[in-house]
Amino acid sequence: MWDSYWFGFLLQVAGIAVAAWVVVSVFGLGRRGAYAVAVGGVALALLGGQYAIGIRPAIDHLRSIDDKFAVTDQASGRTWCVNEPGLPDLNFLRFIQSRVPDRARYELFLPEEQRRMNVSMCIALVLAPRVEVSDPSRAQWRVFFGEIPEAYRDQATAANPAYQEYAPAMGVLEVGG
Amino acid sequence: MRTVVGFAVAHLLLAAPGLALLWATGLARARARDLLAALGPAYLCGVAMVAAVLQLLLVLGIAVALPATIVVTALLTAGAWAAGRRFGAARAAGPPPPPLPWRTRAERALAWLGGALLVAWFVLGARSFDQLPTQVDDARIWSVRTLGIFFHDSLQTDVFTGERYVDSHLDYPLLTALLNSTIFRFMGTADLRLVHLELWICMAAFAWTVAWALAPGRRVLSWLPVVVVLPILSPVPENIALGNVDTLVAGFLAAGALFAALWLEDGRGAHMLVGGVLLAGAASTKNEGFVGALLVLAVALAVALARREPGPWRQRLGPWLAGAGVVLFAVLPWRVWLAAHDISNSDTPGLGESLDWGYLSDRWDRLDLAFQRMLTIFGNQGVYFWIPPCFLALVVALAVRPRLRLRSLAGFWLAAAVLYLAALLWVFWTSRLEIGFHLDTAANRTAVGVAMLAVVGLAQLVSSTLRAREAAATAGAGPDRPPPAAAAGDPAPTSSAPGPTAT
Repeated sequence: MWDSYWFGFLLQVAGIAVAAWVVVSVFGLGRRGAYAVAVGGVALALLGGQYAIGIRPAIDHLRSIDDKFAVTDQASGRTWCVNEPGLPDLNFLRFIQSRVPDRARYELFLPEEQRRMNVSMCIALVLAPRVEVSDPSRAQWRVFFGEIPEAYRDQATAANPAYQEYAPAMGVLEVGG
Repeated sequence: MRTVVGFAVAHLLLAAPGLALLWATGLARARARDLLAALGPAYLCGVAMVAAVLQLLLVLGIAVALPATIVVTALLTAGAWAAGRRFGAARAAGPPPPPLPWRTRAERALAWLGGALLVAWFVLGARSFDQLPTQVDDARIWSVRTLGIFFHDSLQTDVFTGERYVDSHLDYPLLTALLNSTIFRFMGTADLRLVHLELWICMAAFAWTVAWALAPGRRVLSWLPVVVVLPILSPVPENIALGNVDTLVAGFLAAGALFAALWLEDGRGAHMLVGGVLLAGAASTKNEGFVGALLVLAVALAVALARREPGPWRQRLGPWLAGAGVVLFAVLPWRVWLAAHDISNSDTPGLGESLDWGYLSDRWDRLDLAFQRMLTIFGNQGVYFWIPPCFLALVVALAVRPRLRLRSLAGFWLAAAVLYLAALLWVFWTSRLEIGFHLDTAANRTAVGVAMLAVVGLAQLVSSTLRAREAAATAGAGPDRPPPAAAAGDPAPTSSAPGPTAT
């Protein structure tokens, strides 16, 4: 276990302990608790030094956060997760929002790969207060997000007024519920 | 206009129960100046108190719309005030002593400079954190649950128990969602960008709490340099920018541990009660906070018992029981609700499976990798500003040179930090997630909790060390002679209030 990780960290601790011992020895501080006070002093000195070194990068870091996202308005802030790799396009989410009323319950059909990437949580965030259900019998809408299961292919057609298509394999089907 | 006023009113209202608590326990006087000075800790306490009750209401199936939130806040404030009037013993002990007077002009100037830097840093951060987008875990966990409560006022079946929402971590407690949804209700809109600003405000309240708690009877310059470093540590703004709540957990946990340590140091029961409220906040924020709160409570109890002081156990351990009771009240309803709905964390196996030796021994490589990663994190002093090695060195110094009688206090902080680190390592060791992925996504975030314990522990230990030394010098104790006040116990009590150091 005495690899470099252990050794490096213990060296740092030992370095502080030795520095405090040197302080006590050089200044002849033989009084009660002098060693602990010296360790505290070394700690404060190290903190001060590191603070002086680190404050400028810290400010730059904070400013970089500000610069990167300063243009985010309320609506795009909430939908920003669609920009992450593998996530769906925002226009389809807006299409759903315009068709499926607030607080409606929907069943979501996603390709398994996207389901594994937690895409449905990003969709749930954007579509709230609409709620995704796991029990198909409680769904008022079925949302096809790149996949239409065999059981619904005959309903997800242009001839069905309850189905509204956004793109192939992408649309919403009103089922009442 | 409503958004700005609502945002401000929500914060003032949430601070009210905390102010009443601090007054009732005698830690703050009913003077405008003292109450203003206590706003930071009052806000953290108020958030923890209100969230605990709202969580209980949700579990009982009661909607937590705006009127219910206002009524709960008012009742908690009135209740704390009435309790303070009825049981005035804590207040009779008087408030903690004021900070020691400045010795030199340079000391005063440095303290003002440090305070100004801290304020400037938080103002700069507030400007950066008020427009950030919702992303990563925030978009999949925290904000999904926040909107669930904001829109439905209840634990809506699908959002909080549904199979489709498993990825939002159904087992996580509700403080964050309740805090943000409450603020949004006052604002009249769910502006998720402000989640980051709120986390930053809580971080400011945390730094404020540490400063407020350590100020009485100590030299400002003995703790301020450590507190100033606290929000600068780069994992803090990084976590907040992503909307992760790990800094909130760390803040509640470290602040709670500080108040528990102050109880061990000065015997003032009020400190342990307030510590319990803050630990309840940690336990209601995230599972790590729950484990951390239990560990801090256990360590505080062990240290109090190990001192073998005379006096009835009720007097010695009464404050600890009160603090533990608050934590229990905050977490029990949620744990019962989870059990009733058969919800558990799917990332980690239950203890029945993970305590199997075969299961553990097959995963030694995971523990080794996790330990190496943690040491790498804490060994990077460009990030952690020498806090971890300084903390360890001071703890060892106080342990091997016990003449300042701070050994048990040092032991408390060391045990709290090491056990919390061990709990994190246990999760990495036993979890079902691929170890590389788990470490990459969680090690830096969760290490903040250990680091905060070390930061706050270092601040208290340095200031206590310098105070004890100064007190001994003032009392005229010569070299290697124990100070008169510290002849019987470890540490010497600095307050007449009943507690673990009282006889």
